[in-house]
Amino acid sequence: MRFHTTRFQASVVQTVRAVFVTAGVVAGLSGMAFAAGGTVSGKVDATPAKYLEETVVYLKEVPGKHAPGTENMDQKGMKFIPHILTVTLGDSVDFLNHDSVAHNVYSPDNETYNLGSFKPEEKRSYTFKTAGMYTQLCSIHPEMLGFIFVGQNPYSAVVDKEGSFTIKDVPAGSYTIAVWNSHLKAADKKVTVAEGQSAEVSFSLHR
Amino acid sequence: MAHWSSQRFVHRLLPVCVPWLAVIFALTAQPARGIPAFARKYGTSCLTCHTIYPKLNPFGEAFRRNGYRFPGVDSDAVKHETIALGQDAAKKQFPNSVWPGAVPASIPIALGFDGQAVFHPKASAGGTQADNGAKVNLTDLVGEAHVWAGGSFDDQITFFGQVTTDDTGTSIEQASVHFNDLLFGKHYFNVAVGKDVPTISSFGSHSSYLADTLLPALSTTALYGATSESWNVTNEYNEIEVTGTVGGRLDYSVGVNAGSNINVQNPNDFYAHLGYKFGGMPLDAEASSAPPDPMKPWAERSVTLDGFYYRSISQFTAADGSSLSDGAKTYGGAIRAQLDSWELNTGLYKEQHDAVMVGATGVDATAQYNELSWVAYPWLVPAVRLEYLRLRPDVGPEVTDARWILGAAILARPNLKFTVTGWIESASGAPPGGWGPAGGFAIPATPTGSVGREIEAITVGMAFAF
Repeated sequence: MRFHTTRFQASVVQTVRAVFVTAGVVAGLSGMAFAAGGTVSGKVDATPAKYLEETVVYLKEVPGKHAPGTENMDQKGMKFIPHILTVTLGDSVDFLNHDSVAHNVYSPDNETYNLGSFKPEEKRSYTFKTAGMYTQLCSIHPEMLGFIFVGQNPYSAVVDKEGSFTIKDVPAGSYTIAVWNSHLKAADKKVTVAEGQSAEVSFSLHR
Repeated sequence: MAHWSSQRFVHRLLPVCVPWLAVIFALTAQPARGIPAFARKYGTSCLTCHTIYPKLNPFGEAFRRNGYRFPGVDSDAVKHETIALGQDAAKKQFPNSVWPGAVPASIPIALGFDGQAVFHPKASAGGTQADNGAKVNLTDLVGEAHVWAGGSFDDQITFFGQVTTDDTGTSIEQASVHFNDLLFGKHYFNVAVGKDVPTISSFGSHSSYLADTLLPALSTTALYGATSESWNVTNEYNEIEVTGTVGGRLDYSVGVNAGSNINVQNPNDFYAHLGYKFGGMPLDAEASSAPPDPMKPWAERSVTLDGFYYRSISQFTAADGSSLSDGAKTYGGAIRAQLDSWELNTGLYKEQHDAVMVGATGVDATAQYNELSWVAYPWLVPAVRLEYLRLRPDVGPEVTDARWILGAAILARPNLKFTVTGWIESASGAPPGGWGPAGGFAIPATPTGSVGREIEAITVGMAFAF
């Protein structure tokens, strides 16, 4: 017995194919600006070197939309963990408390905020509406310090102990790349990223 | 390093001892302003700031003038761990937050000990008589202990302290807080509050290889028999002082202090100083200044001119037990000339006292000094020093005393030092209190007699700090 494709079956296949193509297009469009692309990597050095680890390298303006997400910043061992967190404009951060004492979180930067005090195992959340660097402080424990970098886009990276950084999946194009440091500065640079390629940039931070 | 001035011993020993017993101790090593606590703070050797301590090299002098801070941003150079007492960002919350600062993770103190062995080659010399005729005196082989503390509250406010103890007791020699860079820009206007030696020179008060202080101390009322502490230009007093460095070349100071009084008085002592440096490292070591020869960080070519005025009113106990008030106007000048590893310090100051003895008798006292040193090697500095003192009282004869000190300072390690000095003295007459309060040994047979040049003592001193 042989099966013959009926006209109905053919139309179903065509419809399914169309649905998948459309879905693919939609998916591609929604994530198009932030889809896989090239890589920007490099090295930062600092004078004096003791300030090197508090450095974020970021692309200043990258077109596209970003679906808001949520990241965590913990308070444990009387420290903010991670010490520096990078998020994108519109993201939220859940501030956790895994210490045995109450903590507070506030920031005197940009739009400023104070999330009040919260006990162990409680959390507070904040959604960032302005790009920039936010110092994280605890009014109960003034020695605590953390940073949240809020970028216009998700293309940013905290340097490692040697000052190296990698920013992945950067859409092809030419951008301004900048660096933030807690004490030092360096001038912005230009970088051109090609699809599937890696671009190298370095910075020297000084007073 | 020991802070031994004959004056300090005088006021402690006078009730029971001959004043010039303490003179012997005037030969020893001097207190330090740079201390191992700073070495720990910055993770650097003593030799960054010192030639042979306490003598500071040009960078070390700038560090001291800058309120014990490195040039640039001080915290950039700090290597020891600190504990934040608040973060910089909290400043944005002020006045709803305490202005932040930091403390070092370990207590910023240093300890030191010093002393000397004294040899008297001439049995009849005044120095020998001051040691009861002993040819060798090991009594003070270890004579003093010091605790120093130095550090910062933040990049602008610093502190320094020194407590000294010996057989006669314990005293707070220095304890001051320095509020730096208050007005007009970096180094221009600073305020120091606490106990310290008034700043009447561009250089540290103990900037000598051979003597306790760069300027010889007269202690004029003690020279005329006072039995209480005698005011002099090299003593520490509780004070408030404004200092500054302008353009890296001009430095100034103005201050008021409580002076030396047997009863509480209004603070009547005022002083001011101006200095200007030509050539060499700027006075604040800013602008990435560096020594011409990095193998000789002390070496430079420069001339520094200094002048000061000091007005004091001191209430003291006269020889007959009565209370007197002595007003003194003191003014002086000095030159430091440095030619690579050679350094010449020469200076003179004059004190015009109106009442140093019963009967409100005044005296004009003059002190002139010269010290020539040569950094032969980073660990060896030979030097020669000449001091000349002259007293012209309103009533009584003019008397003079001259001393030659030859010697060398030697570093066995950066924080272990030896000094070898020979002390030669001559005198024409002596004041009623003898020359001891001014660091002299010579004892003329009569108040108007003279003493030809005699070897008073040879000393071998040792000092270490950690």
